[in-house]
Amino acid sequence: MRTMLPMLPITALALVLAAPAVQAEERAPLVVADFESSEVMLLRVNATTRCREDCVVRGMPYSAQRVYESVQVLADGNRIVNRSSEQLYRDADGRTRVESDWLGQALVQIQDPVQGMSYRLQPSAKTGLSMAMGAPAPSPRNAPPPSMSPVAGMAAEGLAPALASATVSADGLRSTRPLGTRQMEGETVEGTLQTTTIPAGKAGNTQPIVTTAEVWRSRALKLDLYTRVIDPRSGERVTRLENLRRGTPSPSLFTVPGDYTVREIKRR
Amino acid sequence: MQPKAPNDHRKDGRAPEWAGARRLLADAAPPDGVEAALLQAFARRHAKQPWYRRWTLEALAPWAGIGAAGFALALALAGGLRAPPPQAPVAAADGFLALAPADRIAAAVNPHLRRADLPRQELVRMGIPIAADAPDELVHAELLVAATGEPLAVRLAVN
Repeated sequence: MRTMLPMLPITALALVLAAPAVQAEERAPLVVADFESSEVMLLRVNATTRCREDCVVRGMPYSAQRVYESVQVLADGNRIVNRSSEQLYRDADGRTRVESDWLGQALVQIQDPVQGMSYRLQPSAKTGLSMAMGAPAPSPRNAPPPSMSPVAGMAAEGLAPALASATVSADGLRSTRPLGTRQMEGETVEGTLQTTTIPAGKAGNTQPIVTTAEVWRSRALKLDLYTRVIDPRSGERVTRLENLRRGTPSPSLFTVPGDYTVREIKRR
Repeated sequence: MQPKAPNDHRKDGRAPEWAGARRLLADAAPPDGVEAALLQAFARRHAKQPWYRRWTLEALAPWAGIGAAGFALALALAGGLRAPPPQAPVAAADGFLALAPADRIAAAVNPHLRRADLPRQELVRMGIPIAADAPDELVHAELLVAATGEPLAVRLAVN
């Protein structure tokens, strides 16, 4: 020990000199995942849910096109307009299929609660990834909320119209009011308008910031047909369903074609 | 070398008995071989060590410290030279999903990380292609946000 004493000040110096390297690790650069890694991450999100049975909608098959539009008005009056769409399918067993574009390629997502599998397919390459569906690993952080029994769920569903009156949060910053019912795409939809206020000074704002979310939902299909979100910070975003058709889509849409190479990713 | 005079003790500070003993033994000769034996014993005791046996822990400690400091300095400099700038995206196994073009991410000034639990449906509205069969189920998201509020990249994990 005695012989180590002369080293202490020099070791301290060494640690001081090494500190920049340690700090560089702490402010690690943004690490952007490559395509396959990000696909695995998104597949894991798709395949991992604690709402497996409760969120499967059976006996209500449909197909539709979902359209996204966003408009952002800049301070100089310029406008940024984006539009995209995707194709939705659901069969009578609750399987779903979403066809969209992602990073310049076609992407197909299939959720198959019957087989308990989740798929992400790239039709252009005839490849894909699959993962068995399951609940997240239990931990104190992700403890599941108390589940509602099917009977209680039906009761809540039935009481919803009566409860759909204007509500205001305790702090007065969030309010919801019903917009009544109307017809959209041949379906009866119920509307709600949620208003959220960010008080002046909360985010450096001199005036309150008010955002609104208008949602029109088909209770029968358990599907939002129209959503319009207005936020003065980001502009206006509209999501709507078009060409909604009830009826069972082709069963082949919910299976992986035989000539695809699909790699199964094991759950962690 | 001239022998010292008997009264030299005043100069060299030695005791008077020392000068007396010298006078007594001035003409005496040692037994045969004693001098040679003494010289050999001296040589054994003070033999020249190879260089690596001359390094003791006491001698090594400061040099080891200096070496450690130099190594750390080299490490820090090399790290500074090799590490990409903070905004430069690189491929990795478990990274972020880019939401903005690479040049805009690279040009973002002082981006910061925000963590939030967001409904699946909201993430789909942001353009992230995930299943929203359970639209209100929360997904843990880590968002890299530019100073302008623009989301640059996201990393997701199911709660």
